Amino acid sequence: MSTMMALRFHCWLRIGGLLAAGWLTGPGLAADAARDALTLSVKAENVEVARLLDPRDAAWNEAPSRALHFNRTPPLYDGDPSDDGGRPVASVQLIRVGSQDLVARIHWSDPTANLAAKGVRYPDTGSPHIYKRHTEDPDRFADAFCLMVPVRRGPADSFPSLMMGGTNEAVELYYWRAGQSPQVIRAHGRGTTATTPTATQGGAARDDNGWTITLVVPRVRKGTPISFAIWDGARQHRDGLKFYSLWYEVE
Amino acid sequence: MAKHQYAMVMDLNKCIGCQTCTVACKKQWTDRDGTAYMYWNNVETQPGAGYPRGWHTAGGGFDERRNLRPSALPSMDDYGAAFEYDYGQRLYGGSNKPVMPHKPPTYGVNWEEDVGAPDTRNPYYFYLPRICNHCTHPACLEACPRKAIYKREEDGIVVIDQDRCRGYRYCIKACPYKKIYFNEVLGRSEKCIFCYPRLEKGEVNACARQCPGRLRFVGLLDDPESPVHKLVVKYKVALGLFPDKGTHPNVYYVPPFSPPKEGFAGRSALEDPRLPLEYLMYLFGPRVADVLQFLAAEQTRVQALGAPSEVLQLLIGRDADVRYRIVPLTVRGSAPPAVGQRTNDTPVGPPLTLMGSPDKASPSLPAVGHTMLSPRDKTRLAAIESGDELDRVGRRA
Repeated sequence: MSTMMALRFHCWLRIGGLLAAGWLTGPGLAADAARDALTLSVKAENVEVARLLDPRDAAWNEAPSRALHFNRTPPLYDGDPSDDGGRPVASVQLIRVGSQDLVARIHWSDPTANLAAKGVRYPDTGSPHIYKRHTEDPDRFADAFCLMVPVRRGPADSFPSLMMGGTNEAVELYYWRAGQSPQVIRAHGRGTTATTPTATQGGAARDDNGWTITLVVPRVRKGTPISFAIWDGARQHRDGLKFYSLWYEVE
Repeated sequence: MAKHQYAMVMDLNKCIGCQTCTVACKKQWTDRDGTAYMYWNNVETQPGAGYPRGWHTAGGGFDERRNLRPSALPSMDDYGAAFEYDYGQRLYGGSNKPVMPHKPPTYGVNWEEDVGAPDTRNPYYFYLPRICNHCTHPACLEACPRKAIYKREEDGIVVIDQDRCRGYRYCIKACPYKKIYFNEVLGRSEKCIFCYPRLEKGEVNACARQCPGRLRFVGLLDDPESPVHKLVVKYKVALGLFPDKGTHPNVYYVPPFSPPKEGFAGRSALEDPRLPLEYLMYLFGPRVADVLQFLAAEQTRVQALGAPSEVLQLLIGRDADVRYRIVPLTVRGSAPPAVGQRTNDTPVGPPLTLMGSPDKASPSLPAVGHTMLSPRDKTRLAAIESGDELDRVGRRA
């Protein structure tokens, strides 16, 4: 049984590695290089988390950066915008703090900043007003980022489904939306995502090219699978309409 | 599959576009943050672009092969941002500037009425009040990837679960009537709920209750005693809006027919109607001509022969117990829901047999459909019922 699962794991790694390697340097690589393409190295630092939450902190300068590769989910519904071929240029850095926790810093390109809207305040004219906030644009969507790890951390015999895990493979999602504080979401399969009340930490910075955010991910052991997703508000991304990456492994 | 279906019939011959229904709904449900631009009930002037602009042809619903055909999301320009006025500066600030909307309006919920520029070659118009149609095959329900929209089994009302909705807005793109609205403050989509909390207490929808034109009829489609059953199923004088969108709406309209008149150059009113038949058929489908002919024939029959007409008497609908037949859940043979229990979890007992007329209902329920006649009307009613006077359609009681 475990031999079968180990074989399956290697198949996954090989297929994934070939795919990832194909994006990086072309076909026909040795298995080791393919494996490196999927591994995210972690730098251990004795820096307090609060500093690392700032994406611009100097502590991030020394952490090795790895390019992330994203694809776009296929259009699921009529009316979904078709793939225009654009992909975010993204990279990730991981710093281990404490014995098990990680802080991830991800940068990706996005020419337009689309913030989550909480409604706009009416100007205070001094008269009583039944509406305090109003909807400004019912057709806008926000930029967002998500980092997915299995609830059961650590080296996996097989990866959970990229589509929000499965019944026996719950996943935890660290979800950031532009203009909001990060949330922790849990899911055990497509359509089961639910925000948890767990508080989490993160930071965000915006420059002309795109977003740089930091997220704290607790209890990440060596070999934990990790994957990422980016939503571009300008392209009306939400739900499954997004850029997604395959599973990587934390070193 | 819903066991029963609440439906509404709107008699367009009586709508005067007063918007009382709109205000009733707004004060009941959409006076919260994020809902200023929403009109779960709206009254459009037809012909017109509607609210949101261009919804007739935007898309939505199903195609012939029952595939969803979502439209683009309407923008705030298509809805028309709610007007905002600075009364303070005018009333208390000593300013002489007139009170005008804070931004020059470019669209609104009843734009044709605001602009008031008819087509002078053929000036005609009528009012079209609209709510969510609580369709039998809702496109919104099918479009939601999180299954956040459900159709209540006990009465067919379509509602959005606010705990499951994450504001993806596929439902808004799918709805052919554009009757779902996104609340940006909450990040969720909202729509008309057919006033189900009122129905569960035996009270009729706010829009219907407030309508001075008494044009709305509410009841269960499968209840033979309900006015909607008679108008939709028995006499078939009420038609759904844009039936070819494929969702089977459960809000029906009695098409407006012109008052009796001599047509131009001696033609009858049916041959030369005030409202072009083609436009009515565009809205309500090909059966409009049959309905108009039937109603005209009923009128003639009553006026010429003095014969009673159940359908015309029903359409007059002067009394609330004629127009509404609400059967509260507690009357339907199942136990009342426990405190805090969601009513659509209430176990449904043996096949529901609807009780008799509302006045036979349990005395603990509020009186449904009590009439509020003035003393003069009470006297007149008594005279009619005693046979001393003909009522308006010539029926001797």
